[in-house]
Amino acid sequence: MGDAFLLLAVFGCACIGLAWLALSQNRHWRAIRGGSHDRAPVKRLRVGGALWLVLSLVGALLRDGAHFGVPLWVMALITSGVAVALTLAWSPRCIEVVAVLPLPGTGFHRSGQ
Amino acid sequence: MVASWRESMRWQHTWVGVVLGALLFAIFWMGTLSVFDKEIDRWMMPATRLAPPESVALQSAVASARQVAPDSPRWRFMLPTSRAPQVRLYHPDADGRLQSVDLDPRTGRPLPEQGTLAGSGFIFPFHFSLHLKAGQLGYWLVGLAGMAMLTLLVSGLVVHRKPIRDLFTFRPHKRLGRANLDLHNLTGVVGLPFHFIMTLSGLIIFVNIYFPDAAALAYDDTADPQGTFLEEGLGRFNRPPAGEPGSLASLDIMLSRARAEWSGEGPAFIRVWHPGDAASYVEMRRSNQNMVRINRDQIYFDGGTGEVLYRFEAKPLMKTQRFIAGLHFIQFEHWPLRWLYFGGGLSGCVMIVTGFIFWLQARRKRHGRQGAVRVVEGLTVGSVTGLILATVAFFIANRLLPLEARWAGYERAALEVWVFFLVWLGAFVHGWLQGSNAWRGQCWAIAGLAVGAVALNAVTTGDHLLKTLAEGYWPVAGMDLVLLAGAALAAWCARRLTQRQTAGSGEVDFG
Amino acid sequence: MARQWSRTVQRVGLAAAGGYGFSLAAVVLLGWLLSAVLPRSEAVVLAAMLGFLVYLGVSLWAFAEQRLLTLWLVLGGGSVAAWLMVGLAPEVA
Repeated sequence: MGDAFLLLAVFGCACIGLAWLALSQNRHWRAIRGGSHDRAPVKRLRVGGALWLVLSLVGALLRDGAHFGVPLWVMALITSGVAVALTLAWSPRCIEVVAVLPLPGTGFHRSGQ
Repeated sequence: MVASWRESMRWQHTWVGVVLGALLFAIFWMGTLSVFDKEIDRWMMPATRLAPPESVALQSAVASARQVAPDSPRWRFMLPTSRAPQVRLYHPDADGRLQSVDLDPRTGRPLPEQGTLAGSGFIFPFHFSLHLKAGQLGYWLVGLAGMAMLTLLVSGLVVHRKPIRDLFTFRPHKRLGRANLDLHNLTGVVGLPFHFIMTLSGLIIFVNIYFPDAAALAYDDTADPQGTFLEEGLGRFNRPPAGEPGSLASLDIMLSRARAEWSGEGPAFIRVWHPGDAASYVEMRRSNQNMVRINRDQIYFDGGTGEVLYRFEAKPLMKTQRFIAGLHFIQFEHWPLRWLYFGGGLSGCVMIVTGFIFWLQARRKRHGRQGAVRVVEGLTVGSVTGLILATVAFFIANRLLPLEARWAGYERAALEVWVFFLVWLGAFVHGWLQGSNAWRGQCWAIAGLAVGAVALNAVTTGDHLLKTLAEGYWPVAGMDLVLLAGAALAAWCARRLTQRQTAGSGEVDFG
Repeated sequence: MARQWSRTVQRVGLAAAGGYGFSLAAVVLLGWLLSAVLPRSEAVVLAAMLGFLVYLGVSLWAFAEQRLLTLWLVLGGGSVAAWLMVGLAPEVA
């Protein structure tokens, strides 16, 4: 049970982190938020995104140790990367849902409206 | 200078890709399936659909080996794992060719002959040797393709001007050409770590084949540099037969000694050298199920007395090589990773196909129909949908041929392989005759045959999907589900190709 | 046209065969050098693994370098060195 939860956490954190990194890019920010990319909290999205990815790695290491955890993390990143790209293409609203789970205090989810 | 560097990489990416793409697709496809080779074995060998045993009847297995291969110079018993419940006995025949028999782990008796090479005997070796036996030609072709793949990954990254900016970009609603290139970039760039590590580790597995003279200088004071290097690095024990009959002590006692040495872990296999000889000895190699590394931990016992003769564990850098090899082999037990590898392999297949389609569409636009385009189109169809079709036909043949089938001197297992290659050849011919129209026909054929394979499994073995799902027998249920998913995907592709054709000019227009 | 083809064939041949010869030379030599500081089985396996990366580098370079003469000198020279080392090594002993 703990294993299944950690696995979910590894993928969940990877997806959120990569979604944030995608939103820090001009093209995706404008597609989802509209308006100018200048108003996007790029730095916070990048740092926050990277933190989510670190969290995903921690989950993988906790679950499987270094030898199995690192390959699991790399594969989770790849899978989540493709998943984020496909979601951006077909239902960008879902990315918005993922992305408005910010680290406390970023508050950027109000900035684009 | 930068422009010409990118230009030269573009040339390299284009032409190496087109020339070796078909070979690369075959290697990727078979490698992807090999992730589940043992599950394919269960599906294709119904007599081995057994529950993993608690313990193994080793003495009875040895008795069976004495009957099956009394004069063989060695017996290797592959012990059951959670994915392969049978004991598989490998023994060289009089001509030195390796033969195998599956034994029931509980009784040690031979299971009914299944007459198939299945996943671990056909699909897996195809992945690294293409079944070209002559002088290791297949290994070298795969090695060449592997090196080319590494260069293609690097040159692709150079050609793609903004890999980071376009990292998450996929625009399926734009014209198919744009979407196709996006997909090529997405699978190529996001999947890059997987593709690069898998290709490099695949080469590193065969370091001894690809650099057979690596030890020439470092070991130049020995008569056989490479052989001595391998003995030192990988551990080897040799003792010639005495030429007098001898007995074999209890393997169970040796097994428990090995377990005690390896903190409770058992061996992956037990090999008896010179069975029946007074100088016989027993080799045990530690199981790989709980570690990434394909280890070289070995213990050798004297066959007569059961005394330990020799123990070996590799040094750190050799362990690193074995770790890298293990990353590629995934013989360890980790289901999430196994499925992720399967997905990663499929994404590699998508990368290669979309690369081909990009080449075709660019040339068709520029010059209209041309000889070269036609040739590459046929090559692409045959090597992509044709190979998939041949694989499904291989499964179908497995379920249709009776167990005692034999034809024109060929054993049943060889007949299955013939079906595979003939269907593949037919798909190439079809591709060259029909050009881009062949995609649709072959997609429909894949869909039909894949559903047929699931139905045939249900009819011929009784293990239909409802039953295997209810029992939680995942090897067969999983295979059936993947076949059905593949069928749905193929049918979807065929439908989309039809829509495009009726909407467009009568040609499948990728542009 | 024929000249262009000849250059292309030379380049591809140099990338594949010359690149291999050069990498083999690097592996053999590096294995020998490293054996001064490592157990020699370790030195050889490390050198051989690195050999694939050397091969990757030089075969890409073979497509980027404009002057064929340079390629012939480096990759051809490397191959000759490999041939000498592998061919002559046992006789040195």
